[in-house]
Amino acid sequence: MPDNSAPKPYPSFRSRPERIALVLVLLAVVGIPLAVLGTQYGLRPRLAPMRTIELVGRLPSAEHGGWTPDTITVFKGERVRLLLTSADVVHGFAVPKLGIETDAWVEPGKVLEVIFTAEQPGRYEFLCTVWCETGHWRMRGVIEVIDPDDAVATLRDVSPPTTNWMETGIDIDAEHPGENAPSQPPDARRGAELWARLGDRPFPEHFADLDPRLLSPSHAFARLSRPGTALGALTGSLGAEERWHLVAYLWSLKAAPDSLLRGEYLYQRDCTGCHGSLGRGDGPGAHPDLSLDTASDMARPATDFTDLRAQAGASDMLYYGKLVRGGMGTTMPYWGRLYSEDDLWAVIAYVRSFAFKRD
Amino acid sequence: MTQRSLLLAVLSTLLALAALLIPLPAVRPRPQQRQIHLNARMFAFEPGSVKVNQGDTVTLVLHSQDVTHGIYLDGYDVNIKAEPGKPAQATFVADRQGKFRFRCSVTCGAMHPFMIGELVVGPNLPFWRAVVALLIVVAGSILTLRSAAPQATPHVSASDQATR
Amino acid sequence: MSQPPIKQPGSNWRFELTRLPFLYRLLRWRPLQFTLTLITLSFFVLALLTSFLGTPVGNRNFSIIFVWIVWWALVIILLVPALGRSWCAICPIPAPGEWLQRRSFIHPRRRKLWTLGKRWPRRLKNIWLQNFSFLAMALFSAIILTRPVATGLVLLAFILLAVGLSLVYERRIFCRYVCPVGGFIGLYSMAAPIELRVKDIEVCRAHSTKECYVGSEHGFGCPWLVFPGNLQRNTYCGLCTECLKTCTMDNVAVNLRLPGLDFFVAKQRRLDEAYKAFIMLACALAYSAVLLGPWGVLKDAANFASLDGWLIYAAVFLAFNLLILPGLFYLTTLLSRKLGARGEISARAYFIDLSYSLIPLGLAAWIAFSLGFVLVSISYALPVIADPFGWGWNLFGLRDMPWTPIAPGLIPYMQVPVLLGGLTFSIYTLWRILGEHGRERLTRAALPPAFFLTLATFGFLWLYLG
Repeated sequence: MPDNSAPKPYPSFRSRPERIALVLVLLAVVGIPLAVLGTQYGLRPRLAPMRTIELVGRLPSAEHGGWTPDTITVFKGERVRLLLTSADVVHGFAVPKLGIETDAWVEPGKVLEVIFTAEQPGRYEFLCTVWCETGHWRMRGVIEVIDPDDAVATLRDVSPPTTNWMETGIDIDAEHPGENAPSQPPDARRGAELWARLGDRPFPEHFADLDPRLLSPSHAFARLSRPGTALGALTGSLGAEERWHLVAYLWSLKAAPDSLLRGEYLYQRDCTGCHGSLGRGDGPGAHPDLSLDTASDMARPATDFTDLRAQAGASDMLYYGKLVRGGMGTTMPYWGRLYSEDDLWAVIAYVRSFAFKRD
Repeated sequence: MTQRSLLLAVLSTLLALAALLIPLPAVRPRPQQRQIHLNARMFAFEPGSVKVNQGDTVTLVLHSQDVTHGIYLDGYDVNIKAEPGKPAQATFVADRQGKFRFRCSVTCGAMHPFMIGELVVGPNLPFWRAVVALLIVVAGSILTLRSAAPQATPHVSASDQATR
Repeated sequence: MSQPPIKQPGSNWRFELTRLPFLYRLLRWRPLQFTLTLITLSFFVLALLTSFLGTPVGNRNFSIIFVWIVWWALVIILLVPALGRSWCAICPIPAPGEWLQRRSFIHPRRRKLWTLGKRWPRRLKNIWLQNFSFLAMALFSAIILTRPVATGLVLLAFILLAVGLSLVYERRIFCRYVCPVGGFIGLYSMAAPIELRVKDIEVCRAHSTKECYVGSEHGFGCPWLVFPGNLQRNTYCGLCTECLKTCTMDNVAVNLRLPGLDFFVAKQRRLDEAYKAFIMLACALAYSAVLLGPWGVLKDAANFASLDGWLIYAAVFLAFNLLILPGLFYLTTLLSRKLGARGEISARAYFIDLSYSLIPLGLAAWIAFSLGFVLVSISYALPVIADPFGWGWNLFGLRDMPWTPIAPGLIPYMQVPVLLGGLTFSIYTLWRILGEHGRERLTRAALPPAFFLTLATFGFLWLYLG
């Protein structure tokens, strides 16, 4: 490099303005990055009022898809702040068994703050609550709550469903068309009116000999016309349509109104992606990408809950099993580790309302 | 600049402004109720272009097909958002003519800022006014320039003299 | 849409802005360029950091919003139309290379620059490289405009290239011959109402030391490799005002003038610049359709949804830019040449001459196009200032400012006057350029290219309003 010494009139490089300029340039080029990184990784964690965990959501099919990290470990009784953000599209976040059910979106580039304290050690699954793609249901993770005094407790699923559907021997993978099926969606209110006119005692008592969770509507319908029974005598003269109203009435008695509301909330949040908000099996994920695997059940469209024959043939326990385990080989995910038992029955009660009208 | 060309310039400017701005009696077809279903996917609406008539009561129903999308309609106070599987809708009276873009209002991926559809409220007078103004401007410019120096005497600027 | 003033022979109106004492002192104040560049450099550093470290969500990332919305609006809507190449004077990209060459920030230290001092190849002494670098970026615009990392890579490539070229070649070779942005800023700066010129060319001719080109203790020699005495157009003057500082004869001035005079400097018209005009007009049309239009197919293709789709898009895009639009205009110039009986000038020269009439309309189209998304998206700037990386910061409490388009219903009413004004300016330019070859049959000669200009304007009106 040529380097002629400067002629006299030129101010020296070490002149004051040049030195100030150099400092300013260094401030811009080195100072700004240092300030940014120092603030983010030094200052902010120190100023954070509590332990803070950043959780990034990405489309499951993307690189590093799902939640990052997908396992979070906290201590029992520790106050923890989650900072949730999305790197692509709108996601949602819930930890049902911790009671974290924010309706706020995890929006791309925005930060959603969730603060919680887990009092009971164990495993809590969390999930994305806004449909984001076919693999939406894979967007799940676990919060492990550690009790230093009880190492084994950390591994336990908290409040798992207690009803063992497998003992009942129901084949939840089989098709289940009802032998009997209504032609129109029956109306529980009209069933109630009918029973008020005909009934001798509370309607469910006529079914007391059966486990109501194993009873399918088709089965219940058959009982109404069986000759030689008290119930048959009371209802035998009714037309099929009226008898179906009674069946709807029977199911409406199973769920308390607040349970039904809870079921509606969960269904509309977690099930509409495939089954549709009206239960028609027409959600955006109802028809999985057939190009993936045409031969298997993965290509099976989502169940249409307005299909009256299929609803009539299904006992509540059948739905329960499907929910807990998931549809083996289909895109129906499992819910047994996310929902409490009450939540599961609440969803089932709500699903019935697509076939049986209620108030 | 000759007097004539100045006159032409002023006249064509006024005419163009008149074409753009003069109020015209509205010729309106009978208002209808319209329900328009818009399917949204990354990064387009289907249909991308919607035509209604001025005065129509329009209900937009937004169906997100893949991820959460929204609709912000320029010039109308409409902003709805819909998660996939949960259609959302908004109703408004299309009381102004013209083309109004609707844009996705929920960040939905890289091309989100360019996820745009259009609502044309017909008769699209603003467009035709602009076309008439365009023609007036073209004709006016040429006539003005013609009359500015009709003789065949080239005029040369100082810079041209320096180079030529 | 007032008609542009018709210039009469000899009425070469100019107002010498540098006669204003304040402005004169400011422009001669050596730290001025450094100070402004330091500010833009700070933004550049932040943009580079956010692009690589921040959220991949474009509209929540400082780099995307401040480069493609704020900076873009500043340049194309304000700086270029009003102040020509002024951005080039304060651009941070060539600054590190230039400081390195000079080994100083503010004051000249020595005559020699710290560089290998190679000569730029003669064949590249034109803006073809800029035409193609712009087209290359334009092909990937849907990616670059929306992905912070892509923007970061582009910014990084620019600054590395600028530094690298400064080490090899003397002065601002990157700005003059490579920068894709500089190409169109130079083209459109011809329309600007300001200029840097010498006051009296005779003074320069009589003056042999030429400090303006070689530099002195008061300033550096022209970084743009331009001898100010030859300046007739804004195209390659970066407005750094070094010559204003070095000229010992006080013969350099910044003038206010009638816009667009540079189009009529017939001798300096060239095919590369003519093509720049076509590329810019074609890109404005293509972007208006692809980015602001309702067609998902186009968006998918531009966004690389599939390689095949993008390849088709790229082929059509390049053909439109380089063949179709210039070809159609060429046909109108052939017709014009015939109708106007201007056979004495070659078809090629005639085509190049008339191409300059596209420049005002092109600039107007870019302003109109930019209004179409800048006003809609500028409100992203506030949350992005509060949280440049999307990390959940909340500086100044602006983070949760909602996205609010500004006057979106009025955008078409701004686009129409801008386009019609640009068209008027273009027809005027066309008329004067045609007039250079004689006044006979002027109207006939003007009609075919004027039809082309009208059709292009109609295209924009249809895309924006139709």
